[in-house]
Order: sequence, then structure tokens, then C-alpha cells
Amino acid sequence: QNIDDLCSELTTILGDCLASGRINEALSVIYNVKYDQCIKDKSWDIIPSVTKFLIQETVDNSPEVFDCCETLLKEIAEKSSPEEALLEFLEQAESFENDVKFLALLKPIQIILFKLPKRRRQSLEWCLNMIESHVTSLPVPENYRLEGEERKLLDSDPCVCRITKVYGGIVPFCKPFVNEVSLRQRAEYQKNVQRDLLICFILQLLGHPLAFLDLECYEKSSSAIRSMTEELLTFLTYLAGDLMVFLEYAETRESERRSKRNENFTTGNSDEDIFCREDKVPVLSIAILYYLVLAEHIQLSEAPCIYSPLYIFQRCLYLIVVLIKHSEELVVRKGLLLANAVLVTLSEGSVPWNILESPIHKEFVESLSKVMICCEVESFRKSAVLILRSYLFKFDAKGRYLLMLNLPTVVNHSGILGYLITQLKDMIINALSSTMTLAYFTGKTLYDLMSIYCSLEHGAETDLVENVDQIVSALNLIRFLALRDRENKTGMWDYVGVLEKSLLEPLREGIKLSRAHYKLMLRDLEEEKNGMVNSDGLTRKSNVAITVGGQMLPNLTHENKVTVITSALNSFELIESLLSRVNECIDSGTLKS
Amino acid sequence: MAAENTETAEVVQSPGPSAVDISPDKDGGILKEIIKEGTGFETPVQGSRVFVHYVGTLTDGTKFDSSRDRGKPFDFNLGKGSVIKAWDIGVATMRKGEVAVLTCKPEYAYGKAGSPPTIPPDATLIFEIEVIEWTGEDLSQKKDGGIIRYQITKGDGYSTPNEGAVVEVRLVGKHGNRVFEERELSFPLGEGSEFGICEGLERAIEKFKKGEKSRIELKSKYAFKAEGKAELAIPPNADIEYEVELKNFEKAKESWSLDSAEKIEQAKFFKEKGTNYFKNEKYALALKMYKKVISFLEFGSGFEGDLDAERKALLLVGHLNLALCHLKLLEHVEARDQCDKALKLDPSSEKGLFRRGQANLGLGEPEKAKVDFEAVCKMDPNNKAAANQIILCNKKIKEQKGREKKIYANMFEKFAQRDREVGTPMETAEVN
Repeated sequence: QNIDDLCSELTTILGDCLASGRINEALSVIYNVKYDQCIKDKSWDIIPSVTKFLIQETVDNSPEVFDCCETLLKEIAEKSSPEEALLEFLEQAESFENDVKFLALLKPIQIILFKLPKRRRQSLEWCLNMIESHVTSLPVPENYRLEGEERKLLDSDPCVCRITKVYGGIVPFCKPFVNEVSLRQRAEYQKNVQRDLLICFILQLLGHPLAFLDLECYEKSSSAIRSMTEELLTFLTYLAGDLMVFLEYAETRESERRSKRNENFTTGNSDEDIFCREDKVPVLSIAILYYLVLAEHIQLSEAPCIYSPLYIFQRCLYLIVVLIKHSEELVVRKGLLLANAVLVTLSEGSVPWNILESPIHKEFVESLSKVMICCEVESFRKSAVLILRSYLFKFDAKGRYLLMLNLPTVVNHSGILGYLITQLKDMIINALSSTMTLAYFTGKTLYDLMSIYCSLEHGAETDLVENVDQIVSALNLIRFLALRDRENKTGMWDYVGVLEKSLLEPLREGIKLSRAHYKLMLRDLEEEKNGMVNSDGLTRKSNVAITVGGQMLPNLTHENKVTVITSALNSFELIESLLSRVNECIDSGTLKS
Repeated sequence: MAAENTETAEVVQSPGPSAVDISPDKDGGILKEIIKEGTGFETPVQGSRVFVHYVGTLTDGTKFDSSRDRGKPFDFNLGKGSVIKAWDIGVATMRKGEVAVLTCKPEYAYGKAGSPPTIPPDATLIFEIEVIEWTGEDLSQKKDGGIIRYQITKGDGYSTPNEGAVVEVRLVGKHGNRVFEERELSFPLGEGSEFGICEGLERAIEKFKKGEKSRIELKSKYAFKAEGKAELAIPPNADIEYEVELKNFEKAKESWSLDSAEKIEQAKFFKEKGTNYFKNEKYALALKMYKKVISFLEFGSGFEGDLDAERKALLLVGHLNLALCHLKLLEHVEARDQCDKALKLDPSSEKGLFRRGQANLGLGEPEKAKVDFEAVCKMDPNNKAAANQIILCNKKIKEQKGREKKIYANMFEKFAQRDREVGTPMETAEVN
């Protein structure tokens, strides 16, 4: 019998046996030495006859056949000539829809790789690439706006289950290759290609889709994917030694993105450090890595204890920006948790102002304020607000001053401006009550800040409803200073006249105008209502147009409109009473110029 | 029991008799004891990539960290603040092969906060460090060893120039032992190729601080590549080196770290540049520089006292010089606008009035011009130039009047002629 005939005989028998569930017969055939030569030479013909049974249906209906297929493939992997069989296995495994097949083929692929120790580099790279593309094709769960404990529900999301299953196969697959080149096994100074390859691979695994899952640890339970993540980070420590080295690459990536310079002249550069390449180590992966290490404390105790917290903070700012700019809420959450983690390590007033030279601070505040205003999950918005305060107070006095001076160029939202004014008040209290230098919160510099925060953008015509938060905070600040600083330590009294012109007087005028306007609207509404009751007595669509904050309120019922207007009128009351209180305080101040 | 243990451990972990205080303030914050002398006399300069093995312990003898356990030496850039202060200071004093024990007070380590989970609050740390070797600092984006820096003099401050910023440098280029160029120049980063500055050198300068002087080694792919450079007798594929000093540079206007004093300094920097260009009759470039002067001073906030006076003076000079440049470029409208701005700051600026006069003359408005020149003469009766300009104005006014007379005379003559041909002017007007 020639080899081709033997081969077709073998594939026919295997196909028949598996189709009819005669697994013992199938196994006896594969162990028959008669076919050894043809398995060795013709593996690419034999493999497909078995892999076609690697489908979900087989798992459900005849699991013993599926087990048998796995045994057969392992046997084929052992007996085949590795180069040819590897190509066939890789081709078979490349089916993004079929996880069952993909996972079942990992074992025979691993067996073959061990048979190729000399030419491992190239073949391992192929296998890792194949796995990478399978992993990146996995869909991720959608935004469910889950808060607190609700997040545990994610574990039953079909996407999460699928990802967990796939990672469950990949982690044991790469373990032996990691151990082979682990620094714990054999201290080595030199670069090693297999090690670099595996580092890139594991970092890739940390990016998509892991970034989109809940990797947090809850008191008693932690998800299966969390323990796999922990194992991946252990691998990374074995391979890289110092997990913190990737912070330097984050810096490179940051400056590279900023300069639009053409990088062509160094492509194909053989000396190039592979970790510098975005296609090999995506910046999202680096961000997730430091979220896991610094916020989740995975492998933190293994990291060198020499790095300065300020350095880690500066390097992580960019990573935080990368995370919170995402629209997927679990990615945003990781960014916020990372921000918290790096801020906690710094003491108040310890961050020197000069690090503000980096444009990353502007980006950080900009994206953080987007979370504060636009994020759909309430707890994220709140936590972003707290992060902003914590961030501001980590700086020294000059840093706080410079931040306060520049922040309004980035955020132009009344709520945040109001919040910032409250922070300014705390900074002044801080400066007044401590030995810390008052320099930046007195005299002209204080006035510069006050003139930014305590003014009306359009004078008396400013929309008071839209800017109520800012106005109330500004009035509170002035009142506070007038009461607290009777001796004019801050020099505020020298500028009271200016404040009166820029804020207090136009505000008085503005209240008069706005109140008249809203009262008119209220009267229109009442007239309309009287008309309606007369006709059919039911609530109908109201036709009086109401504009608040420059935007027309659409299709509100009559009652809603009345509520909106009443609440606006209440705000005016509030502003007015505060305003008269401020005027009283100023008038009673002996230092009024 | 526990207390006893700590006590005995502390005796073991206290610094030896030969320990030297190496903290800059001599506050006993970093004590160094040499265990094994190193070789040579050199110590690593700032920025060097240093490779070390170390073991860190707490005063009670607990080992909290060791590079040997990780199986790889630890490496970092010296003096960049990436490690705790004690290391940046301590390692800079060590020679190759040296083994030393550093005893670091919390102020030079992790302070009151500690570094959870390993370092408790307010902990004194003891490191046994062995310096294995060091290399220059790799500045290349790809970390391929193509651009290596060895610092000679440390720069001031913290900022480095952004892309597009004008830098003022002094450089000496060497190929082997031969100096191929030695010059001082200023150019905008990113446009170096126009000034004979190769890519790698530009990259390196981006990482310089003001006043820094360093030696930069460039692989040919970052220098003059396979083409070489015939004018400088640099053969193809040649590695070269430069000694570069960054004398000054422009800072990004939108930088959050600029305070008033620095803004003034930046404005002066550009004023000087503008004046140089002006003297060399490069008016368009001078114009660009003076515009930058204004851009740093435009916003009133943040200036006070002397600085505010200085700001106003600079702003005035800026507008006046802009006016002069526009005049030279025959852009009279712009020149007049700049004078208006200057005169708003100082209504009695002689230069402002004089230049506005010139602009008005250029715009064909001798009457307006005359008012300006007369104002100058009123303030300074000895101003001959202004007096001359008044004469010129009068002449122009006369010429203009004469010309107008001629035009109108002809016009009336023409109308009369036409009227005679067509009939009464009233009728014509009505018909049309």
C-alpha cells in the first residue's frame, strides 16, 4: 500500500468512527504503527478529518467523541513532523467564531512547539499572533451603567463568560513558555527574543478585551477572570523583572503622540526597542497594567521599592487620560481608580509647581471635567469631583495658584466653576491659617484670581439661571473674605470697589431684569391655563415658549413649566439675599476704600 | 518580646563608624558607608543610565526588596527624580564596582506616607548598592542607542523646549578627532534641516534645559546618513558627535507653569531677537518676533508692581517696533494701528506720534500726518526730523490741493461742455 492510499484509508476510518461514536476504534487506529509514517508525512490531510468534529454540537451531544478528538489530535501532534502540522493546526484554529475549536487546538499546538526548541522564535510568534487575533476579535460587554454591587452581575454577561473561557485556555498555554525564560529560573542580563515576545503578548492580553471587564476584587469573591489576570501579572514579573519599567514607555508614547514628526526614517530599525511600538505594546495595555499594579495592588509587593511617588504620578497622568477618555464606563472607572491610587501616595502641598510645564495637566483636567459633567454613572461623576480637589491640593502654593489661574480656560461649566471657587476659598483658609506662604493668595495675585472667578461674563445680561452655581459660590467667597479678613491680610479690601463694579452692581441689575422676564412668562402661562380649563379641563400641551440657559425647553406640560419658572425665581431670591448679605458685610467693614 | 527583638535588630542595622553624611544639607539624612572600593575615579554624571544590584532592608532587619531576587540588575536614569532622593544623591557619588550601604532617613525616601504595602510610614531605609556599570542617556525615541547624551554642565530650571520653539545654541561638531563645524545660531525646533542641523541633534536639544551643556553621540542614521555631507567633509554612514550648549529658548505661551516674571523674560528674549533681525533688515522676521513679544504680555492678569511697569514698557516698545517694521514693509494701515495701540498706552509717546505721522503720510493723509508731527514738535521743539516732516506735509497738502483744483476745474469745464451739448442740466437730471 502506498502512502497516499494509507492516508485516505485513515481519514475515512477516523471520519466514520467519530461520526458514529465508535471512539475505541478511532483510538486503536491512531495507535496503529501501520499509519505512523503517513501521520508523519501527511498530517495536513489527517488533521481536518478530526477538527471538523470540534464544534459546540459535539460537546453538547456526545462529549466522549469530543474528548476522543482531543486525544487523537494530541497523538497526531506527537507523531507528525512538526513544521507541517503546525501550519495546519494554526490554519484550523483561525476561526474567530468557534471558541471550542480554538481552545481544543491549543494543546496540540503546545505539544508541537515543544518539539521545535531550536526554531521556536518564529513558530511561537505565529502561534501568539494567531491567539492575539482571536482575542482581539472577542466582543466586549456593553455599558450597563451598573453601580456598586450591581457590577457583580456582569459575571453572567455572555461576552464576559466567553472571554473568561478563552483566557482560561490561553493562560495555561503560555505558562511553560514563560517558565522556560523566567528570570526567576535563571538570572540573565541579556535580552532574549522569546522573553520579549511573551512580554508583548501578555501586555496585549491586558488590553482588549480585558480593559472592558470588571477586574476588581470584592471582599470575599473575585471573578475567575481576576485570578487569571493575577496569573498574567505574575508571568510578567517573571519575564520583565521590574514591572515599573513600562512607565518609561508610557512617557515615550506620550511625547511621540505630541510631536507630529514623521517617523519613517527609523522604520525597519533593527536596534529598535520592540516595547516602543504601539502595535506591539498598545498604550491601553500599559494603562491597564498600572491600574492593576497600583490600584488593585496585584504584584505591587514584587515591584522595586525605589521609585519616587512623584515620578509614578507624573507618568501615570497620561495613562489616566487614556483611560478616562474612553466611552466604555468600566475603562473610565479604571482610570478614576488609578488616579485615586497615585494621588493617595502624595502628601498635600508636596507636588512642585514646575511640573505644570507639561501639557498633560491641561489634558488631565479637561478629560476629568468631561467625566464630572457628562458621565452617565453618578458615582463616577462624584469620584471625579473628589479627584479634582485632591489633585489641586497636592500642589504647593504656587502650583495651586497657577492651576486656579489656568483652569477656567479649560472648564467653562458653571457647576465646576462654582466648585473651583469653593476650592479657592479653602486654599485661602489654608494659607491664612497655616505658616504656609500667603504670597499667592494675597494682593494682586489674589485679585487676579477673584477677577476671573467673581465676574459676570456678559455683565447684567448674563444668564443667571445658567450661572447660578458660579454666582452663589462667588458671593459666598466675597462674604467669607469680608468677614474673616477684617485686618486685610489678603489685601482683598483694596479691590472691593472693583468687585462692586465687576460683580455686585451688574448682578443687582441682572436680578431685576431676569425677575421681570420670568414673571412675565409666569403670567403668560397663567393666562394660557385659564384658557385651557375653559375648553376641556385637561392638561394640554402648553404653547408658551421657555428658554433657560439659551436652550428652548421642549414640550413641557404646563405644570412642568411653572415648576421651572418657580425654581428660577427661587434662585433669584437666593442670589439676592446673598447679595444683600455681602453688601452688608462690605459696608460694615472698616477698611472699605 | 517584640520590643527586645527590634532593639537587637537595630543594633545590627545601624550605620558603621566609617559612614559619611552625604546629604546636601548635612542633616544626616543620607549616610554612606563604603563596603568595597570601586575602580577608577569617575562617577556617573546626571542623566546616565546606571545599572545596579541592591538589597533594601528596614531598620529591624526585614528585607523589603532586592534586585537579585528578581534576577536582573535594576537600571534607571540618574538625577531625573524617578527614584527616591537618597538614590539620586547617593548613587551619583559611587564609582564603578563600588559597593556601599546607604542609610536613608524618611525625608529622603518615602516620608510620612511610606509606600504601602511594603514600606511603613516614617521609615528609615537601608540599601546595600553595587554599581555594576553605566552608559550615557539614550535620547532616541525608539531607544535604539542612536542618540546618546553625556552631560557636562547641568541646566537650570525644569522646562525643555517644545517643538517649534526658537532655540539659541552653541555647538561644536566632531567627526573622529576633527572639528567640522563650530557655530552659534538660533532656529525653531523642527526646522533644523534648513539650518544644517541634523534630526538627531534636534531630538537631543528637545531634552535640554536652559544653560545645559552636553556631549551628544549620534549614529549616522540620526546624523548625515548614507549621503554624508560633502561641504563638511563628512563621509557616508559616519557616526559623529556634538558638544552643545542651550543658551536660551522660547517657552510655550500656553504653558501653565509660566508666572509673570517668566513671561516678562520671554518677551525680552523675543524683543532682542526682533531687534537683531531688524538691524539686518529682515523686517518680516523681526515682525514675527515682535508679535511674540506682545503675545506674552497681552493678558493683564498675573502682573504686579515693578513687573507691571516693566510689562507696560515692553508692550509699548513692542507696538512701536511693530509699527516701524510695518512702515519698512510699506504696510501703512497696520503701522497706523500699531501706533494707535502704543499711543493708547502712552499718549505722549514721541515715537508713536512720529511713526503714525509717517503711516498717515504713506496712506496719503498729509493733513492727519501734519497733526501728528506738530504734536511731536510741541513736545520737543528741537526735533528737526518732525519739523522737516511738517514741511513735507505742507508740500503734499499743497500738491494735493493743486491736483484737486485741476481735477475739479476740468470737471466743471467738462460738465459745462456737456450741458451746452445736451441742454439744461435740470432736464437731464430728471430724465436720468
